[in-house]
Amino acid sequence: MLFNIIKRSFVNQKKAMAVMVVSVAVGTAIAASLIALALDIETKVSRELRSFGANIIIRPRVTGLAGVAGQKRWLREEDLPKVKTIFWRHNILGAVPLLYAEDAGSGLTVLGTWYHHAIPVPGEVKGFETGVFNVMPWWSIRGRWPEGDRELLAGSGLARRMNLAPGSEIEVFGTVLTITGIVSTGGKEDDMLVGELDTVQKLSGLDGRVSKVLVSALTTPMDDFAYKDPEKMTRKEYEKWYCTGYVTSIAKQLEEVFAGAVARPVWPVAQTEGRVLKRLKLLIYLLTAAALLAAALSVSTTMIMSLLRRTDEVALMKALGADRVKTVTIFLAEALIIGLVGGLAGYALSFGISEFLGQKVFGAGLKQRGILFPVSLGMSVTIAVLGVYLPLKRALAIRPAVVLKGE
Amino acid sequence: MKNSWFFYFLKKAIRQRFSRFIISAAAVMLTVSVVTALMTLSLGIREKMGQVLRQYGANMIVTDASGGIIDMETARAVADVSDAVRDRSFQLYGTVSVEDRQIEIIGMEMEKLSGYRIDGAVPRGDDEVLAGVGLRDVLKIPKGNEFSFEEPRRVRMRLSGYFEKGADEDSMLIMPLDGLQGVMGVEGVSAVLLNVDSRFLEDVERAVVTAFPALQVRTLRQVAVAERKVLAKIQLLMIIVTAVVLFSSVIALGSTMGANVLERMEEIGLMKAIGATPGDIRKFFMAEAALAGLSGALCGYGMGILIAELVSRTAFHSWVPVSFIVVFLAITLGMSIAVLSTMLPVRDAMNVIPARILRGE
Repeated sequence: MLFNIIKRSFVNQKKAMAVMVVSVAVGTAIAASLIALALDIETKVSRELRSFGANIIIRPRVTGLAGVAGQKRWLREEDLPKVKTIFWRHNILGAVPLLYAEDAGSGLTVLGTWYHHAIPVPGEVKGFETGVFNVMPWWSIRGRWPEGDRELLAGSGLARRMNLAPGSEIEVFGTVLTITGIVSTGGKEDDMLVGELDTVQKLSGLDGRVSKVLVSALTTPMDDFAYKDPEKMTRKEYEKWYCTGYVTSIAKQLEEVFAGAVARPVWPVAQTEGRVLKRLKLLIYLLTAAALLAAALSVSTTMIMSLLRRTDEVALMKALGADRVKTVTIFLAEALIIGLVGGLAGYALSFGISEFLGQKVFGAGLKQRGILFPVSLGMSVTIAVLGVYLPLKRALAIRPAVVLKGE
Repeated sequence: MKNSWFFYFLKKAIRQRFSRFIISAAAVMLTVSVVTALMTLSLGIREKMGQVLRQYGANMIVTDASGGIIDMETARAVADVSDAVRDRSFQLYGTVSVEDRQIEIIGMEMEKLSGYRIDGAVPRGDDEVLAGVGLRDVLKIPKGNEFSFEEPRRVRMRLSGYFEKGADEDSMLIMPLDGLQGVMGVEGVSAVLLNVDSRFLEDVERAVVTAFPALQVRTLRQVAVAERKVLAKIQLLMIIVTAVVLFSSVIALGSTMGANVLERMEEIGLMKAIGATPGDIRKFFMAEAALAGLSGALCGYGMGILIAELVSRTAFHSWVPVSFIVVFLAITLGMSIAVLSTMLPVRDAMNVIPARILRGE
């Protein structure tokens, strides 16, 4: 009997039911895809912010009179693969060695680095591909990156002063090399010669040595806890700090694997990143909340509107002797079905929306989290049921005769 | 005569079905408010995020082409060369000797010390200096203690603290610009650091070089390129979120408003039966929908601006500018959805045969 009534009400009012299902589905889809965005925004944007360059710098430890007094210290190139052995290894997106070799004869500085290099990683076939291309994407090269050990790039400032162009030859460290391109960075590289690390090490006789290493890592934005001095933390706090991906704790872990090194955050980058992430996250959360509220309200207005129209039906049921419980059951069962069907359709639709949104903006779909399924179904059913129950309560209070007479 | 019939009906229809009229208007209002808020924020986001990114520092450095000192008058004029310059700071570079060691020193305005982590205090007077953490083990001077510069002239200084930036500056000293000018005996700066709206970098570079041929301009591509990229991404994100919400809420609103007409078939039949022409009926429904659309859109616009401002205050601590394009779009949007979604089913309803509808078939 109950089943029959509900079936009839769906069959007889196909259009009205379809409108409610569409409205619930659309509301759920917006809500679910915005929640997916809010949950994923930090990861996605912090990856984008890596275009600001390295956020950790590893340098040789300077003690006593060294450094300022002129005695040079180096890092070892062989330590580089170890960046992929630390606790937060998957967060390391790039690591670039830089070697500054000064040629006393010509007074020029030659910078050796990697443009695109695969660091062998134990247990992985492909290796870890990194270099200037992903850590310093703002380098602009006219010409091509040097190949073989007889080629170099010239910085744009140096090229202007010395009249160098691709194809010119220059003598450094007593060797004649060919310029294959002009590099422009806006930094001090503009006044240097730049080449492949291997080439520069051989030229200068600094085999296996590196002046500093720049690391680009995905980090958790610094909060008040992160700014605490690790040396003053209790053991428990230290563990929590060490196992959270703060820029400081990742730097600490890098320091542990590099011999004779100090690894520190690049503060302007780390701080800007933290601020941008904080603001953007808050913005997206607030927008999600506003859109959620609006979707909930608009779905319930649709439901209310449709129920207002069916006051006659409620009155008729009452006149035919249906008691309160029966009437409520019928309408709530309807709402439940609308909520479930709309919720499922909305959830499916949100897959498409968040994939589209992620692809368009970040070049990768948003991460689909399992939690979204129960959340969207719960939301859609709750809103549908509430949207029916509230006006129904009012409808139940009426006297059948008055309504059926059409007053 | 005809007009009075029209308004009488319209008034009656709205009064007797007031709750439904309100619900239609409310549905329009909700959609318009969310869309208004999103549009307002999309338009303002570039500027708001730009302010956050600006704290990263300068993206353009202007120096003397031959490496000399720029006098203060020229330095100030450089910063005023274009409206696209959002922030400027002056720096003077020199070398001082401390205990027979040559150390590089930067003179700068202390209020521009952003992006530095400071252990200790920011120098308050011209006789205070900050040292990079790289010098901690070299100078071995505890913060707060006094020491001396021996060259270029003998001056007593107080070390107010250590700073860390994670860059080459970490093995240098930093002190107030005025103080270093006094120590070095120069009336000028070595570099003017500009933060330029990343869309106009090339224009500003050209303007500076044209106005001051003796100067040379370097664009810090690291900051400039990244800022441009990140801002474009964030704006795109907002625009797409707005588009998605707009598209889906228009569908939901349209179907709700359309369904509203379907249930009024009887009314249409009745109107026809008492002699209204299809044109009359169309006008009647259009007027009602337009009224609901307009009132909903106006309220929705107001609420949307309120939401946008609340969000902007919370997330960015500043107001977002209200654009006039948005008022226009919001009202057009609300009215056109209301009218279109009503008129499409009304057009179909014109074919009904009054007798059958009124009999309840």
